[in-house]
Amino acid sequence: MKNFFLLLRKYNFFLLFLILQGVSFYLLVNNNSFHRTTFINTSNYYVGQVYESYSAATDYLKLSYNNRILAEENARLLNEMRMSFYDLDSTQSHVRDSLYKQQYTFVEAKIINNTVNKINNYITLNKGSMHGIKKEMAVISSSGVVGIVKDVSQHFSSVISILNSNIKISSKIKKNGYFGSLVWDGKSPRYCNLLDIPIHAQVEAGDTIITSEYSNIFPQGIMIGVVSETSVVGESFKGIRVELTVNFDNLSYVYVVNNLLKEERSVLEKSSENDR
Amino acid sequence: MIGDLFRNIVRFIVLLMVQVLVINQIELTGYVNPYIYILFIMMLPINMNKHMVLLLSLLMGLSVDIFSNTVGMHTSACLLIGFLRPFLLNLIAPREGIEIILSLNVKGLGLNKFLLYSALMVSTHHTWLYIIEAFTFLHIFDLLLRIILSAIATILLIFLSQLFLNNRRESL
Repeated sequence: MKNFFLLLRKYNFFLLFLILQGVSFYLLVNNNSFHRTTFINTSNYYVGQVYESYSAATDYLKLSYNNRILAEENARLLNEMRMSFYDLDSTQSHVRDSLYKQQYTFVEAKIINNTVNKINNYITLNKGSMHGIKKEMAVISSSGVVGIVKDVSQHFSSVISILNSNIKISSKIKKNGYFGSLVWDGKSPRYCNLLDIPIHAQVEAGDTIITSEYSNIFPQGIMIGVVSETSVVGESFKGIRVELTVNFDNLSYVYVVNNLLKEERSVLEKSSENDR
Repeated sequence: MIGDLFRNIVRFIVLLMVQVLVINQIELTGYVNPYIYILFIMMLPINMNKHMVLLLSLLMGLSVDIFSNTVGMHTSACLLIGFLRPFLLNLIAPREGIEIILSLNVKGLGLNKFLLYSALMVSTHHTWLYIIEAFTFLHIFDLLLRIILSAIATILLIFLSQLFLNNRRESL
């Protein structure tokens, strides 16, 4: 026993190193699981404050670009308004009726921190639980899919960007409905890969990729990107390279999507899974 | 002694902020990500207790991790160089012993020794960091390229910061 303590004493520096290294690996491994609640990330209040003031100082640089994006979006939304349509059927009266139930609500948020050059990239937003943001909500921008909310604090939230190896987006080819999952290979922030598309599916460069209705997080039909090249992987699947429509390099305003029927659907799906 | 403490606290804050607010925001092809904050660990006083060095490395790594959502990665890499620092210092020590070095910068070590010291620390840190980062999926060529390019960029930045600071003031 005495020898054991002598040994501990002799190698205490090395032991301290090993213990601390163990702690950091514990954090590292835990961090990769999706359902995690720790304070050690950018949704932390103080860290959020630092990034918010930084963003306040640098926003001026992107001002003209953002104005253009907002103007474009306004124009698109105006096009969809009822007042810009000519009513062909004059006998039909529009009544706010119970045939439609709202499924999605949107919260606008500003990006205050964003990376694109790591293997696992994250985004920090300036809205948090105070504004109704919860974990696992979808994040989209006016040009397409951005990511999924990972952690929320009162004023800030951190988002797993689709430029992250831990995330798969359920997506489909718009013209024929073949579905697969979209993953990032960690290289260029402009491209992702679409996996699990069968070899007999007709796909050409230029085809549109959108989110599929299989996802309980994203609304169906949100733009993801366009096919840039296709190849054959293995015996039964195609490898499809997708050019993303969202430009992550200068993204600054996004919408967080709240699916009001999400709970209902996941409870139902869970109960039928239990039957098996 | 108090001056030393103050200098190190300032260095900690300045390097952390420069790292997360300036360098992390610059994107150079995705392959070049310099991590200049390890200069803090490199320049801790030479006579500092090695356990203290290890704990301060932990603090620095954890701070960078919190700011970049990479919990554990930078901590682990910082701990490694904090642990290896005494051995690397012995390696580059002059024949008269490590004690005659006054401070761990270009002035104290001389240009060649300082470059060697930075190269050893930076390459250890970057290699470990990128290997952990790539843990889940490995492209070995990409990985090597990232490590080498980033290490060169970091060493260059460290060297430039030394030139700049030495001209202005004695050994910040």
